[in-house]
Amino acid sequence: MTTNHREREQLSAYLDGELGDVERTTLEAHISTCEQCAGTLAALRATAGDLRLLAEAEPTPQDAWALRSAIARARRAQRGPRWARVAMASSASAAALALIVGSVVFLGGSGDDDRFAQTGVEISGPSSLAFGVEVLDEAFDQTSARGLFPTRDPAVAAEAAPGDGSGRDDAAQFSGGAPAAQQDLRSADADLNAHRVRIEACESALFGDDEGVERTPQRYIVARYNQVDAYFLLYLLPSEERYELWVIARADCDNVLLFEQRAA
Amino acid sequence: MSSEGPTDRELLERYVAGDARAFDLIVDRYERRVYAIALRMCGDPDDARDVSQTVFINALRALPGFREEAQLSTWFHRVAVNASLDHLRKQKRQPTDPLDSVGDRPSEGPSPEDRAVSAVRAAEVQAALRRLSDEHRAVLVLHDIQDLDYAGVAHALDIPVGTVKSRIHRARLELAKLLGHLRETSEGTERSSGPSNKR
Repeated sequence: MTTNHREREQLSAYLDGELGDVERTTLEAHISTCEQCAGTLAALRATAGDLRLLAEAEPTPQDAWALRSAIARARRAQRGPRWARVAMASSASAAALALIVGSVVFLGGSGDDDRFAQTGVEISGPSSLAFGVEVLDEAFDQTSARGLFPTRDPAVAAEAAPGDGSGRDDAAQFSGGAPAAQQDLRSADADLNAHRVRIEACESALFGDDEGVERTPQRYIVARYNQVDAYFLLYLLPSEERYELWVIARADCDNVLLFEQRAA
Repeated sequence: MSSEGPTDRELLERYVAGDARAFDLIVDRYERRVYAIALRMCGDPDDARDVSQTVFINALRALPGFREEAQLSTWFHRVAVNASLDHLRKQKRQPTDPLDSVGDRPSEGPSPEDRAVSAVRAAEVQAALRRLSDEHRAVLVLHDIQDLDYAGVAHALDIPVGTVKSRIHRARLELAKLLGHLRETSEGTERSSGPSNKR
């Protein structure tokens, strides 16, 4: 019995169901009389079975985050002049953003330290929702997001968050003066001091290259995001008249620009 | 992949029309597949992460010019394989032995014993896979791991179906020997009687 007969070349295709009826029948007849081909077939089958062990290959949440972060960076580089093209987002996007902002407000307002709360609550939801709000449409106004903005008392902000149509008051509040969030950090305990150090390190890594772009911190929130310990950082960019909300991983400063919004 | 939600074609049209969110949905849809191909081609999770980023950043630019008649899935399979090979070439090294990096990643929850055993075997299989040529590894990753049929592999790699057929066969024979399912004899190759070896 030779080992390199034509039938042997067909064994993998037979295993994969890729042979026609005639070829298959012929090969089956051959296998039943050829011990060597039957043995090779069994070995091929075992090999294919081994390969199926490798089917499970999930990116970690950190991988998913890094990917979206890289995409956001590439998009900003691609976009060139800021706001040259503001895409029309669907109303679904605005709803998704409201959901996220609502969650963040909740996180920010809970806990013992009333303005800089650390909680174990996660912002959940399909990743497409959580990440899919980079560009906002015109219909999403500041009133919806103002719960995020610094106020003297977050309880008041939380109360006001449902929206009474007077978004301008809040806009006035954060447009001048020292950022309230930084004051919070300075007056807080050692835990918060550690957060401050970490945030500053991430900020310099993240924005150190952005020469000439001034970011005024509006609010820092310690939270978890997609199963990762993170900071939410809200900035005003006065020269560009817009806000940015960043999420930064505490462990490695991995980051994603969650959304941008024009300042009124 | 999923019967619900917009089709690939619809997402592409929306993306080309300027809907940035459509691209996010494309990412959600293909992220795992691209990552899995990159992981099995390179053998290292960090490489897989880098390759995934390269693929989708390329997609940002490339998808607006996407040909109507091609399948988006085919495009992603092809680009994932090519980007993996480019990545390995740039690093001027062979795919990583996964046994080296197995401890680098957080494990996914508790591991029952049988799961641990199959994880060890999976690492052996990945190590054997890395010894194959790029061509052989690519057909096995797409067919035996990603479950594409011969025609799908042919499209993804832009080679004739007949080539896919012979390549898969040769690649499996080679891998079978590496995994101890086959052993060399004086007359050629025959099935090994013993348990799988580790070499």
